[in-house]
Amino acid sequence: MTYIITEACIDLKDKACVDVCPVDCIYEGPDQLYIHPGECIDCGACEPECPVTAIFPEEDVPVHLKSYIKKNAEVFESDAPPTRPTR
Amino acid sequence: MVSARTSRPRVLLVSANRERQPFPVVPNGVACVASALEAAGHAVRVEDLCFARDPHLSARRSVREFQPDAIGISVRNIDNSDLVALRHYTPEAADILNTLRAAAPEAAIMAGGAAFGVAPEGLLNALELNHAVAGDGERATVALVEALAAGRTPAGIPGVVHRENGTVTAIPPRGDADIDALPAANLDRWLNLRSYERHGGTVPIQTKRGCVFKCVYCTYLNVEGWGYRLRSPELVADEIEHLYQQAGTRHFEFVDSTFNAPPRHAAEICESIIRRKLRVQLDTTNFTPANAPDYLLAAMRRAGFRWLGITAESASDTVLQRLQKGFDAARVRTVAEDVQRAGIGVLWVFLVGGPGETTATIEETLKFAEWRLNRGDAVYVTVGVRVYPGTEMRRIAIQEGIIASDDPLLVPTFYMSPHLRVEDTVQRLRQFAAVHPRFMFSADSRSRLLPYLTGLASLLRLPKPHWRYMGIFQRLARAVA
Repeated sequence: MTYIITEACIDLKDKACVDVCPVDCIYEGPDQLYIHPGECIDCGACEPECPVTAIFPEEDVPVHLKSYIKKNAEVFESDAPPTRPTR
Repeated sequence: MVSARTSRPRVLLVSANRERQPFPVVPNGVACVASALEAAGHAVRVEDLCFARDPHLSARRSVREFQPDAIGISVRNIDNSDLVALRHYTPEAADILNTLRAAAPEAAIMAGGAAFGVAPEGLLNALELNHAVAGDGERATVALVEALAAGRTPAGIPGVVHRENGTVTAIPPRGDADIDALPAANLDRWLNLRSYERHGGTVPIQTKRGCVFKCVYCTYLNVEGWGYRLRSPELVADEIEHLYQQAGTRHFEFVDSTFNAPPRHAAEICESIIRRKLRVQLDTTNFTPANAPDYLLAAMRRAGFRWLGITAESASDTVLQRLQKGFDAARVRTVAEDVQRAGIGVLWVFLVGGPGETTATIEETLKFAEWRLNRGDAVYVTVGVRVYPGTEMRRIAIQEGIIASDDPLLVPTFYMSPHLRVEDTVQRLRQFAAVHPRFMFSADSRSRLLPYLTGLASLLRLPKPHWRYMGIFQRLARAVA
């Protein structure tokens, strides 16, 4: 299981989650932050840090946000994958 | 209980930990609590019994000289978590407590320390206490002392375990979210750091509290709670700079759950130390292979890390998975190469005998150990997993019929994989140690000569950490014995 960043992060990219991730698995795309599903160790440290409740455990992503599971996974396979977040 | 001399109670804090092997550990928590009490206006004295020739005599003298209204005893560990070379500390703490009670029959007695975070109610009962603090000690101890002084019940104070009318109540610790707001530990104000340094100990620095990893055996979640409470990197560097300038300390050890998680925070601390141009030597024995990015390793090296301890626990995927370490054996190998490339030597720490361990998985770990030993690293191994209250390991041990579900686990109890025999495992490790000088087996690191050898290393000003010479020390100790 991994954690998924959803809609509320778009254009906000607060990055409080980045500061507490123990394994640096949160990356920055042009629109939002993404959690690398292969690197996430499922610790959950990011979830309570998000000021807009954009982060969910994969199994708890609300139905209307389920598309973000696929988006999080596919973005790392794309030609322009997210990069290390800037401060 | 308030003294007639002052309006606020006088508080004597006693550090009961006397373990000096392999190295004595500076009681950082005692200093944190002492500073918090002093900041709250109390007269405070710390009696550190680590190096006392006669701890009972020292405790009695401290009571006689200071005339405390309240006494807090700190218990760091219940035992040393070592199946093969076991030491149980609770009886020694109980003896000290009895001495303190007899010396100051009017004083309120309370307790704290990491051991109370692990087993708050069990230890309260075992030590026949009425009040103890579990978890963060600063605010809880101040609130407890003030409640007792005012004749109020301490029931309801977060982090206080309390017995009233025969019933024990334990309010979970609150865990201050902003630990920067707490008074600095001021280690040099309360403790004789030179004594620790002379005996091979290092000066501890805490950069955070809490942990998010899920290692099945670990008690950190009980003691410091889940999640990270990070100290400001600048405040951490301020503390190091203060001790560097005022106490002459040159060697510091980061004593967090895991120093390198989150890695950005660890890197910021290193950068702050680098900016101050402090010629310090840094190390930690709490480094997880879960993530060791190059930017962090480079910053660590520039800040003053030459050696560090990596708590891999195993180099077998089967065991790592069962221990829920959050990384696999391939990651351990990658990190080994990355750390070596960064110019930092490693003490690899392994825990043999956990769930899933077999003779084959031990050989996987020894193969990895041999690879690293041949490249100049050192290895430290313990056998058996201590089962502590509130851990996943306890659930596993109950499930496998190793312990009863009502066992308070105050008497050291160990999990040993059902696929192994302790004697055979010890024999295999001793056999391996015999041909690898930097391979340290915990059972063989308790020679009475070792403290003298580490003292000699300090006298000769050999660079720390002294564990890197431990293999040679062990051989010398064995030869003399």
